[in-house]
Amino acid sequence: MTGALAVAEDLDQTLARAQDGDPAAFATFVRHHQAMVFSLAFHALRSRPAAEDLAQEVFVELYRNLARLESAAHVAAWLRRVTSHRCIDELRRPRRRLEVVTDVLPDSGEMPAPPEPFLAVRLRRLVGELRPVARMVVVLRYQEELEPSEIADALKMSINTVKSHLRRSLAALRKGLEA
Amino acid sequence: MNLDDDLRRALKRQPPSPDFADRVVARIARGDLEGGRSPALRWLAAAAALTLVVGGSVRYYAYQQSVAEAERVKAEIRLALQITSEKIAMVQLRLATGSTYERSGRNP
Repeated sequence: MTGALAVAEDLDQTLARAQDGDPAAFATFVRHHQAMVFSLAFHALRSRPAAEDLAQEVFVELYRNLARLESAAHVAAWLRRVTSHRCIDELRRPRRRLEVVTDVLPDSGEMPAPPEPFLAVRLRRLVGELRPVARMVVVLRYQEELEPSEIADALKMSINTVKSHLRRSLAALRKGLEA
Repeated sequence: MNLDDDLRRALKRQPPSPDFADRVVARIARGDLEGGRSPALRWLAAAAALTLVVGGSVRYYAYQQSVAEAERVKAEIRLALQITSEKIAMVQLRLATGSTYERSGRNP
């Protein structure tokens, strides 16, 4: 049995225990997925407090819908879909709270030096200027490494629409970097 | 420059605050599940409550109307019985008076 398969089976058992009302099992699920859910929200909303609030609400919603979910893989897909839609709704709200950009430069010892220290910060800012759906498509593609078909499934749109968003967004980001 | 790789680096996953999971579990443990309701659900709940209040008021008004109608009918029956009772009393009085005159051999 491969390691990934063992982890998947473990998570399926954890899901069954969480569905039986075991709070520790549910907490395991939260810890397993919190970076994914929080980061989707953070890269979309560009505000750490807003991203934490949204991520919390997604997990509360997960708890309410736990009985309907069939497997650990189903939970992951459900979390991606619900988080993405909530982010798009939040971005479309007319009087959204002000974006508090919380980008920080990486610590010198955190990881190998990137090719350009400020490039990541500039890219995150440019991604934050894309329209809500296009922004979410880019975040799902590059944060979660999803294929266009998976993004189409998560956002309930056609693959061609996803590809079109990606093409136009990448062109806009290239243009922004050159400016 | 490879934009795909740069984007992967820029958008890599980041951890939330260390106590994030504990706060989620604590919120669920104290039953604080309302915050997650969508505005649509909140409106739906408000509309349902309003429907219940209006529906209840209409039914209560109809009930009050039927009680008032019953009271009116009861009063009419009471009056009718009272009139009937008085008529019977008068007839009885006349019958009794008639018997007295017959016994005494006089006309009333």
